[in-house]
Amino acid sequence: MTDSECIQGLIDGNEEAARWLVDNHQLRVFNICLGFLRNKHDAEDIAQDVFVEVIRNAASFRGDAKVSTWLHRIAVNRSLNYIRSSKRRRLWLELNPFSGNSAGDAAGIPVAGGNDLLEQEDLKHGLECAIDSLPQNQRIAFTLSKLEDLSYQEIAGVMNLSLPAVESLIHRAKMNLQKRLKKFFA
Amino acid sequence: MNCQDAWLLILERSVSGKTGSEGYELEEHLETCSACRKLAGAHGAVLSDYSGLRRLEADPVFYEKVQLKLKSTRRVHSGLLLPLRDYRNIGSTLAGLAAAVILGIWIGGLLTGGNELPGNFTATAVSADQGGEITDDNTLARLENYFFDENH
Repeated sequence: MTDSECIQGLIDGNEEAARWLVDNHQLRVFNICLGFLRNKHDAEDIAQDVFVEVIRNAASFRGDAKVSTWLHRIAVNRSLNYIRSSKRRRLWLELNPFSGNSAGDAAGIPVAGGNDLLEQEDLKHGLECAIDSLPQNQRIAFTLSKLEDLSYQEIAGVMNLSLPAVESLIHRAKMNLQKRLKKFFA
Repeated sequence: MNCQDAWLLILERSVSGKTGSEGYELEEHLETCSACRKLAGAHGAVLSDYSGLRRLEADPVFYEKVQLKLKSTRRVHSGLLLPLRDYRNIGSTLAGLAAAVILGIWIGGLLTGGNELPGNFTATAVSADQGGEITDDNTLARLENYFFDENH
């Protein structure tokens, strides 16, 4: 089945087209969501939402990119939206004195210390925080490249940027990570 | 190799999985520098954590889960009196209707001359402004006849 046949099938309400789309793209979409969310259940939930959105809005697909690019773009956007809404929730829990919840552990890069195992955990957490604190475009490019093995060309398609722009984003992401991690290791 | 180059290579390795020709130099540096070893270890831990969660085979019931979600969100939509899209359509229809009514009133006014002033309107206003003095001879004669003619 080609992309255009699949989209036409979705518009016509063809179940075979929907199944083809989900079966062929679920792994990539799930893993992209996982790269951003780092939580299996959240990634599963968001990946399902991505397919629901695509099946519902197949008619709005303009056909100027591949279906996979469209799916990946929605997966990235939905994951980032989810992170933003979780951050708001976390902030509310922090501010709410009656919630009894402390979620401040992810607020900043932690300070290394203690025994080796703890230090390793702190380092891991520090690295994740450093990636999370990158500017959004750098973070998307870095995550798609690092965790998803998407080629620079594919990332350019997902982010609607030129190839040199993606290369520059990833280079700046590495520089920024280095800068942020320097504080951690100092 | 200094630490700065090593850090960039460690990040490079985590981005592309390769360090190119400098891989050997990096390994040598890692043997002697504990800070860089820690960073490389942290990267390895993040990547192995992630690859543990990463799905390598398609979930056989994933399609059914999507269908279930699709149906449940459709039910929420049908539970409303009208879908949001229809409310938007009604809004634009009402706005169009109101515009048509206003246009109709305006064109109607133009066609029937309803908005124009009567031809003698200015003259009437001017004569009223002259202190109520009656200058028409016929009218005066009739009034004199009425009030002073004893035969009346």
